[in-house]
Amino acid sequence: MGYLLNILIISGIFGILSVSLNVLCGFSGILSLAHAAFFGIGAYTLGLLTTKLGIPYWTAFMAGGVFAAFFGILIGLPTLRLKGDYLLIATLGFGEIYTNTMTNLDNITEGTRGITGIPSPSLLGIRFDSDATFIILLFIACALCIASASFIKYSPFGKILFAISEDEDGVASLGRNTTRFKVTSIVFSAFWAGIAGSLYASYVGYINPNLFTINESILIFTMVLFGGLGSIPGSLIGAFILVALPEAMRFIGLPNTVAAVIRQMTYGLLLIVIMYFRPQGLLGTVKLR
Amino acid sequence: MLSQLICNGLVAGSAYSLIAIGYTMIYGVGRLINFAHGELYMCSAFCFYAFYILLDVNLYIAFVLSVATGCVMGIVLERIAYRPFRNYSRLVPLISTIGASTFLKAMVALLFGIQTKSLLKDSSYQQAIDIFNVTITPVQLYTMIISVLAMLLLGVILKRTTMGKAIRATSEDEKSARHVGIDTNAVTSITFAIGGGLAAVAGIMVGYDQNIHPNMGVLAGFKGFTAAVLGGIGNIPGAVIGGFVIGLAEHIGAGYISSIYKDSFSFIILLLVLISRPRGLMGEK
Repeated sequence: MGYLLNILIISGIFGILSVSLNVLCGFSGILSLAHAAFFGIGAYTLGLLTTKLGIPYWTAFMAGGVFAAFFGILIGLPTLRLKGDYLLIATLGFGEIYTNTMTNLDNITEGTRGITGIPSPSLLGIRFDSDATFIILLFIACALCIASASFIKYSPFGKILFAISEDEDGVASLGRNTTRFKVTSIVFSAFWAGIAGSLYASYVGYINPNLFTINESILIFTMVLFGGLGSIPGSLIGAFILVALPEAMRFIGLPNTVAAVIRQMTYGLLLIVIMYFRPQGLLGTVKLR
Repeated sequence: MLSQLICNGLVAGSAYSLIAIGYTMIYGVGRLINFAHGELYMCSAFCFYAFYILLDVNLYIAFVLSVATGCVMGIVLERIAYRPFRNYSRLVPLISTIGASTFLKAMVALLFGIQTKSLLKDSSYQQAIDIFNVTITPVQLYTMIISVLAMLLLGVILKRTTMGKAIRATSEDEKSARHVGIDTNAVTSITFAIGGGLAAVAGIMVGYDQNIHPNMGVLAGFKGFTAAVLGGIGNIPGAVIGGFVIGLAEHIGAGYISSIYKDSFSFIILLLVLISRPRGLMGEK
């Protein structure tokens, strides 16, 4: 039971990540491989603020999201002028440099040793320090993320995002400031990635730079593509399947390090297979362009 | 100090140039940014490790075999991750090469383990020598020499041979090239093979100098790509110059500003180029 809860919690966190990435990739057509960096920025913000500066938990929790969103603007403003393949590589570069910086800024981030002893949250006298209580908190966060993403999808704002992904010049010619829309979607996406990072850091209690690398970005990206661009239920299904399926390998009795590597191979193959058979993903409606 | 930094920059730059040529040529014929290009570089270095260290093959034979493997891997990559998608949106083959890249990294980690490995057998190649107050190891010297030779060879192939003409024609206008009877599928295959071979040379030389790791291709690939964009993607001499500029900027920046941010310089350059001159320094149009 505890094991199942653990898988549910991890898929919930990745659910928030994939839904928020889908707002960027599926709605606005901005493909990004920097999502794990925003995830990591959230986790590190919470970890550093609570353990080093003694900032109250919930302030640090929100700071995780806000700080990630801030970096979203910082990276978004210059890179959003790019399109498709160029953008993807630029975001990849950002993700890689993020990992390097976190590893190298030894005196602040403790380098590869990571940050330990990150506290668990408590609210109204309830401590969310066990799987059974933490999942309640996660459920609320997930629900808020899904609700806000759905709200965007069906609002006039979201319609404009979809229009931008189809024909940006067309939208611009109708007098819309497309950059503002795109930056808003990156802020939304990075904010939720940061919140997911805060949740993850307080759930596991320990973080290091290797948890937020390009491999994690590709994993989240695969979840979105698997579930389908633009489909929120698709992203959730993608997150659940890609977290739960490799767990099956534990039962074959592979050592952990081998299992981790085989999992990566599966994700890689899966991306190619999706492109072969269903480039729009399981429930996707948006075509890649 | 400056001359030492310039020297190190040129060594790194020659490897980036080789990688950048691959990006630029593959982009030229296929309009694809080959995301798995850094993995061709990494896999060839591991292949060299397998031949040279594990199987104890002669240095030169191991080198040739590994470069050949790089070429073959380029062809296989084209067949699996590019050709089935060539009529789709440009993002589809790009994403399939992301898949291939993830797969290859994990496969090498599975076969060889994730520990850093050394390609060094004969330490005399690492004995630093002094030329004009600049310290350089023989490996670094060979890296530059072999890279430049490879580039010259490529230049001759492209200018003088029928195959080279076919490659240039295809990258100029694929449809017209097909109309005049050029087998553009074969040309694409050959271009991937050339790209793989050049990446292999870079991977082996850099691997010999700095040890090898399954993740070594990610940053190298990214910097090679930056070099290709800097030179104007599709432009081969541009890619060479771009590679050297990145290598120099990175080492001089690391020397005078901070080595912590060494890898960030290429990212900043990429952003600046893409924003101010998206066609690159030597790009057309």
